[in-house]
Amino acid sequence: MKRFFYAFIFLTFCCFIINANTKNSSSTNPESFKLDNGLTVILSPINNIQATCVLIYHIAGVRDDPPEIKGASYLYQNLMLTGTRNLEPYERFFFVQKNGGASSIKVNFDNSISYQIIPDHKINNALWIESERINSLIISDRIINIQKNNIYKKNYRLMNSNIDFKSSTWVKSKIFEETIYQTPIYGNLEMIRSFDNLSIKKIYNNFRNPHKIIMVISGKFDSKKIKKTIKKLFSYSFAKKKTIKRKYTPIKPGKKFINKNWVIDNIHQNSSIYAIRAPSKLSFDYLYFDFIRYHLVDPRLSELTKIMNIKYKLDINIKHEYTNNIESNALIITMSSPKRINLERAKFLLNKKLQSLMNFRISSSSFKALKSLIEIDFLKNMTKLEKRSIMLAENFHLFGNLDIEETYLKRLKRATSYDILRICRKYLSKNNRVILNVYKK
Amino acid sequence: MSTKNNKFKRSTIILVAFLSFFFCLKADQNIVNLTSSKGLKIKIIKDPSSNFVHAEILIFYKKKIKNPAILYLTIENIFNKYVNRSESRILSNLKKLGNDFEIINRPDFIKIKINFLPDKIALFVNFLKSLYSYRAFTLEKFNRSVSNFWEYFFNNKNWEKKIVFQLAYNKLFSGHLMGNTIITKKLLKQTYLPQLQRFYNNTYKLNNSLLILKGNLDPYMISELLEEKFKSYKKEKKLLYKEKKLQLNRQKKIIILDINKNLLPVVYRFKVIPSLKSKDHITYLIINNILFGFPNGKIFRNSIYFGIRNLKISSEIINHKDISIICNTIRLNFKDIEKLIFLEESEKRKLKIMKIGRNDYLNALNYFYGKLKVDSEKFDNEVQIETDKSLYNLKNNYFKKIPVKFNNIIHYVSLNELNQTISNSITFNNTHKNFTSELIIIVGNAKQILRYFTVLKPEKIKFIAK
Repeated sequence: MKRFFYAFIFLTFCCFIINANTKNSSSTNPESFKLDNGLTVILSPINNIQATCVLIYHIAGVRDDPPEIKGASYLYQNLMLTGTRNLEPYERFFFVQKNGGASSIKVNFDNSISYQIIPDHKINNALWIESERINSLIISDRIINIQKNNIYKKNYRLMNSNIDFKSSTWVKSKIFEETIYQTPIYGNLEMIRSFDNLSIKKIYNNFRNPHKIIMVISGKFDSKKIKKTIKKLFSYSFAKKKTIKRKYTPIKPGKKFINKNWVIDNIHQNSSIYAIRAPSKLSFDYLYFDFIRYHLVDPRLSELTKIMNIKYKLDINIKHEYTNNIESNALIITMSSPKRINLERAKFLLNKKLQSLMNFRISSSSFKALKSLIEIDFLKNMTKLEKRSIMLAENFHLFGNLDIEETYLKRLKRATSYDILRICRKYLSKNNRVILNVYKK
Repeated sequence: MSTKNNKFKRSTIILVAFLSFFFCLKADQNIVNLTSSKGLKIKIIKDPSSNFVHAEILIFYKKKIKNPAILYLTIENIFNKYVNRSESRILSNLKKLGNDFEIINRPDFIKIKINFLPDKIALFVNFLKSLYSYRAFTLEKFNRSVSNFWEYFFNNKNWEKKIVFQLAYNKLFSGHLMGNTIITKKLLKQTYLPQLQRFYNNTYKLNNSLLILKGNLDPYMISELLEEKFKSYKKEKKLLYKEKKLQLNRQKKIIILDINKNLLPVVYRFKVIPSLKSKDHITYLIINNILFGFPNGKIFRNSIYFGIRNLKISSEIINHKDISIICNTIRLNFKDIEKLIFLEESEKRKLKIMKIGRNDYLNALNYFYGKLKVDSEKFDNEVQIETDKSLYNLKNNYFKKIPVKFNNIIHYVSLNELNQTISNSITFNNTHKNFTSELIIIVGNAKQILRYFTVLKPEKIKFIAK
């Protein structure tokens, strides 16, 4: 009787401990392994949801294109959706839609990202579809020609009818002058249609090369089963060429101030575009620059809105864009107003604000609010499967580790307003700026 | 001595066993429901893995307010940073929390969503205090909010969609609180500051609100903090309003909302369906998916035979206490709008005669099953489920719960039930008791849209903001 009694107590304790553990460990630490062919796999299980994200991060982008067909990789953003040995064109996209999920393929300068968010019971199908995309894409001359024409027409139309697009392209080319990001991602518009189809087809090998692939599976899945499936589907052989590991060098701030005016007919608004060269993702400065970006333009805490529209009632429309490159980035702020006088005042106020950021520290209350918001945004992103997976893959690619959450939060907590002041002095100087004013005639 | 020791040992063991059991049971309770002494209903979803807190505050509009500008301007006066030039206590508290908030104004309630870090829970309680004891209505702010009303309205990214929804609710539920949505220049002129203050005093009350929190939180600590903060708050009797029964305009209408712009038109197709409480709710969702699903739906699949190209369809469901509304948003070319309306009618007729096929039925179920699972990745998903449960007094929240197996979902709605509903409701005959309202709003340049209308004669409404 006594033994039963003690056994019962022991079991109750075990139950309690197990229960407490399972409740606390909805997500476990990510793990990584390599397949024999060199493909890297990262598994990041989260148990309290019923969805899974299959993300393929290719360490291949437009920067890897041969000079004569620079921009050809961008064609793969659409070519990846064409048919394969066993799939009809767009079937991959429709499969995800039919199952209530979401998917996307994006080719950038430094990398290319393809992901599917699907219900957990469809993970094997999602993996199979990705293996089809990597192994047996059917790229005919006809499809390539269609894509070349589509990209040419779309961008030609935008260049000639959309002043915002045209000015943004010009500003980016100047702020990234003499870097690999200088030409637009689609390459030289006049050259696109004359790209050699055979060379374009050869680029497919960049996306197939297992040494240049990081696969991230995050969400709910059975680790043992998934490992088996991945091994079965992705252990393809690839012609062994020595893959040279790409070396990245953070690009320093610019040394030339550029200011240009365009006077154009038939536009409704005057605008002024400020581009500031921002830090590389490899640098510690990248995180600190986020404080400046949030402080100036994030709609939730934007100082520019507060100064221009609330304090001085200038009614300025403020938009911003932040590039997503590895070696160098740019913060592009567009201010527009139908009244030229208001725009000129806004420019004066922005210059003054940038100057004051270089001279004085951000106030303690603003700094605390910024820190909280950046942390909240980071934590929110970590709960979104696709963003979590992208961060994991990118961090593994650049720094070779998987503990992003801990590292990021530690660095964020250590940041002080003096760090921000240092970054302001480094990046907000006049020589690191390109300004384009677009006035109506 | 030894017996005393044994007794002591045994009683300790029994106590430990009891505590273990208690904690085992408690650990299973993920959701804690509380009501504060001042009448605030609180739901806390415990999520030990979460490093931030997601909070939603719902304040219900119960009394019928004839002038919708009062509801809108109250929010503007409290939360809009352009109206509040100098920072009010509410805005300063929000800024300290990180300023990651969103206000959703619905005809029947206001929802405030906030994200903040767990160490700022005391600040959050301060924010709540400033929300329920707001005394900063001033004539200067009020005048600013009225005179710049449209300017602020257009600062919203989705202002166009907001106008469409206001118009839709007005047409679907005219004569009811839910239909009081359209704000005009005349209504703004007829609004005065004391009306806002009276409305605030009658509505923004603890016993008229629901607070839902999700995060790594201690419910009892929060409860204590709230009790402490609202100690001096006067407890009021809960006022019971007699709610007018929702009357639907049972008709089918096509309206063009003339917005002078050169972009492609957007067709918003509204359909009122039974509320979440009803089992028919799911039936209608499935039928809608069979028709408007993308890419499985009949309309998308057959659009090519009608010469319609580049069709993009998305659907959303808006739930209310007595009804739900499905809004299908369709983007297409000017010349294809009339064709689309005919295609929809033809597909409905076909469904009625030929019945729903098993494949279409299973595809729709598969979509919903997948969507429920995929939605589980959203950090506010559980909060939405709990909100719906509280708002609509749901015992069986059919499609919000994820069925363990696909087979379970089939038990909710059978193919026969689906076909039965179709034969009862999808007709042109709006006299049938099961007929629910439908409304099509086409947004875009009316001149260009009407150029391609040859048979149908839609009503045209010009949008003049200022």
